[in-house]
Amino acid sequence: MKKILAVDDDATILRGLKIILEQKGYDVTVTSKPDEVVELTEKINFDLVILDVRMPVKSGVEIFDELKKKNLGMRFLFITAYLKSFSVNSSKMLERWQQTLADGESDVLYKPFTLDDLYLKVQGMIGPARS
Amino acid sequence: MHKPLQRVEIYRQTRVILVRQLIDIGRLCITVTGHHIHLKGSLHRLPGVTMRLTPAIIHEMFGAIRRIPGIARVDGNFDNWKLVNEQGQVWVESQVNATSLAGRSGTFVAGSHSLEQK
Repeated sequence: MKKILAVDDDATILRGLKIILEQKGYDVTVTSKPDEVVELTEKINFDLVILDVRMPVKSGVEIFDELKKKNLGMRFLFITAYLKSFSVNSSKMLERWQQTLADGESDVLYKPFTLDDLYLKVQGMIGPARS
Repeated sequence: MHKPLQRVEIYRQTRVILVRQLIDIGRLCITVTGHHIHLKGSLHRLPGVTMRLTPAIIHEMFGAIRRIPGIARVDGNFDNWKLVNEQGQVWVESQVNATSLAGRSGTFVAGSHSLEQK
């Protein structure tokens, strides 16, 4: 069974993600504590990490950087309500964006999103729950 | 029919091509079915990118996606670009559909809409 970790400071969204993705057969772990993420990924071999981009303690991009350094082979889906979260209004930002997404192993989903939007992204990234 | 792992790799390679052209992949849904890739949503460059998206770039991008091994057909159904057949197949920018997000069907699970369980 494919394993997913969802990280968001909004408990309602986490609850929704868990219900929806578990209905599709995925094994879903959720946390609203960004500091727990590295520890969780050391214990469990996740196929996909869903990251809210803007969180108070640590951003989704910072968590992504930490996990990428560990080279654990997981994929990343960024969720953000802010269309400009990935804005590239400088050459530095452009380079940053390319580093984050250019390998095709990460994707972005804007809020609000539908069940279909979410499932299409997740299934596209890691395939169905059991394969 | 592709095996799931192959489909995941095709999906990844499609994203690589889109990202290379600075396309905002957050506004697109990619579906891989058999030898067919379908792109749906809004085709925009990332916010802040000043280089305009042109029909030639879209044509080139679709060509690159079509060259992914095992892919025979690529379709795009965009709310801001359409394919016209007047003089061959040409991508033409169309008026942006203001309801592209709010007018979509389906249950919204995050954002300004309330959570509903199915």
